[in-house]
Amino acid sequence: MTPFYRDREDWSDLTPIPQNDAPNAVCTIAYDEEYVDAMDYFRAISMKQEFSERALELTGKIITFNPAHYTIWKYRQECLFALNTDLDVELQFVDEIAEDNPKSYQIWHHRQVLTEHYNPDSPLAELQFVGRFLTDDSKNYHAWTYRQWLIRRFSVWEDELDFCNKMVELDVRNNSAWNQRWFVLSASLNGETKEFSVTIEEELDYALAKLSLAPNNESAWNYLQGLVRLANKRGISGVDQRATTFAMDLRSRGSVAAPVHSFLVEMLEIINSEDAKSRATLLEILDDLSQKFDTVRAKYWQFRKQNIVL
Amino acid sequence: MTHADDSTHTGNRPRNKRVKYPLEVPANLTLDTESHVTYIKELDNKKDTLEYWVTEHLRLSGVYWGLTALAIMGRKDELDREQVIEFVVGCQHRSGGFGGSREHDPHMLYTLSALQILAVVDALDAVDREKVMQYVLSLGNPDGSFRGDEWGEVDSRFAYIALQCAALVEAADRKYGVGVWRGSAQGTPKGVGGVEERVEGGERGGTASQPVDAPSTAPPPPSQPESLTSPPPPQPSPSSSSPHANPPKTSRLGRLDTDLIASWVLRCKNFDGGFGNVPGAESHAGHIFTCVASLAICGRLDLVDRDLLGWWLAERQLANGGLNGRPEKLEDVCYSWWVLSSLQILGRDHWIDSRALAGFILSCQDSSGGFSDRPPDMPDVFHTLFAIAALSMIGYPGLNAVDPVYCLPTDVSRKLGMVVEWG
Repeated sequence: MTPFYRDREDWSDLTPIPQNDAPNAVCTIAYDEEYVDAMDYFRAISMKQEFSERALELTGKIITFNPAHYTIWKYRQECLFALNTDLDVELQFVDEIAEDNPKSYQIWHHRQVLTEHYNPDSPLAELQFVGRFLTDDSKNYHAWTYRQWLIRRFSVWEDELDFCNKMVELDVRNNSAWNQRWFVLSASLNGETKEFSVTIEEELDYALAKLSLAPNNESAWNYLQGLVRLANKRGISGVDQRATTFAMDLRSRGSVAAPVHSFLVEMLEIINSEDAKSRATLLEILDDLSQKFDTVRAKYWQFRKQNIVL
Repeated sequence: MTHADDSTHTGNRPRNKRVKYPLEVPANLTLDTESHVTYIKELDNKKDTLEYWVTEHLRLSGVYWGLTALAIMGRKDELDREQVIEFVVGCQHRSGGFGGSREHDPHMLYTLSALQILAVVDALDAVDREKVMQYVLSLGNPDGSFRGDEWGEVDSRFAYIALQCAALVEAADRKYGVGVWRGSAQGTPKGVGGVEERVEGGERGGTASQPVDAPSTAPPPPSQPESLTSPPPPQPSPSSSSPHANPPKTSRLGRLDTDLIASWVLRCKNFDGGFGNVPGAESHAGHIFTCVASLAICGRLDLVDRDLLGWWLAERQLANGGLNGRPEKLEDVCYSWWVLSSLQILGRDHWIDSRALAGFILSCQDSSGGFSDRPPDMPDVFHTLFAIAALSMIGYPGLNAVDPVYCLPTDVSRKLGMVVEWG
């Protein structure tokens, strides 16, 4: 079949409308010519506000060329809703586009609009799709955001911590997976998760276990620091001490990892012990950071030291 | 460069904690200004490439990126001002919002780009600003968040866009008078560079067929139905002759309820001090910029945990000097802007090694002009702006200062009187 709409019998009722700010554009590559031809016919069909099978096909072609074209996605949605197209057929199309264009947020928003519109009884198929997708592209921001939306919208919390476990097993440094743990934890603490629950203490155990395996993991230390602050805010005692002892133990066993030491600086300031020994330890750690373990941020550590000495 | 001690933007807040680290430019690397100017000027002459056509939907932002980069390099006259204005005006939809190109649906992203371009070329009187604000207000949600377009995506970027649009419109109203623009009775005769010949069928360029607005001394016309819950503020009659007679209350910016918006932005704050695009989403340097700059415009930087977030941002610097956007991700030149501007707004920009960062940024220059995300990738105009803007913030010699809150040349935001406290 001809790649051009201008040569097709079923489109001959339309007069293509070229882009009006580029009358003299010279398209030397056939690929470009195909895209420009499709856009010319899109202008014509959208002028008529025609939401038909052929319009749906046309949007599919343009999206294949340019999946970030938000006007086309919007028009496609109007076609789908007007034609009441089968959701699975559309999702298959989106899956193909998503595979080649994981960073296009239009794709994820489109899925959300479809889920909202067709309102399936269970989000399971979608969650499985996002799960498979994240296995390949584990830090995809839009995919995680869509996953959170699905979980909240359908209130399906019970398996999410298992999913986080699986993602952390794949890559213990995946900050997105740690953020998702926090998403589940805070929902549980807020009473959003029905029968399912998780506690700060359980998460403390989990974080420490993962840090023993990979102490140079900024994401897990950030998570741990978040747990300490949250525990202190909620009056749960002992979390800060356990975390500090753990990090101090790594230091005494010769760790040179910057995150271990930056965590210790935070903890020693949070615990804010007045005794001379812990103050001396703090100053020593700050010097180690600025001179050895984290020299790219030396100015920051010198600043922290000044604040203490002054 | 004097912007490091420029006190205009700091309001009454003393900046005595700020330490200046004069940049030592890496000896083997310098900014090849001429190539970058040529690269940006040539962008519009690439109509025989697919890249030109598949970026059509965001052309308006492309013009903003290119023009602002030129302005920072002191070369904004390299683009034809009247042509730029004509293009922007032609992208306005009758709803008041702007599409990324002619005949494209309006979107918040391109609406801000349109106003930013007009601000840079000193032509905010070229469009009906009241219509723009009606469009922006129509996308507000009752909880203080904003949608990107009528399809409803919610993202912290859109809250920031609403705030900057309101700030630009308010500033322009002070300068030209409320309701005064080139198409109104009070404006100069309409038609900028033959705009009207280009408008077809009354579908686009709604600006050309708008009814005449009320005189500048009258109260602004009644607003469209708003989805923001709070009613419009009690408004004294604005007068263009005494622009500062009635400063807005602190919780208001035009018709935006800044307290409500700030409360939504705060919901995007995470345990690590950072912000995501929606509540619950992972901290991300790009969204941190939009949230921190939003709070700066709202006058609510007190809601940011400066030290915790400042540290998270400082940790974005990698051994090669470049910055990433999230932990355990690769460096990318555009984060030089998102991270550094946030740090500057928080008064913590001296926490990173600016010399190492300058070295990384300069290493991303393409030999034929433009910057890529990281070597050896191909350059694009998006990364070119954020590379040059970051170099300006660091204090690279010969560049004009850039405003960390608005990502506009500082002389533009200052002349418009868009003063917010930061640092």
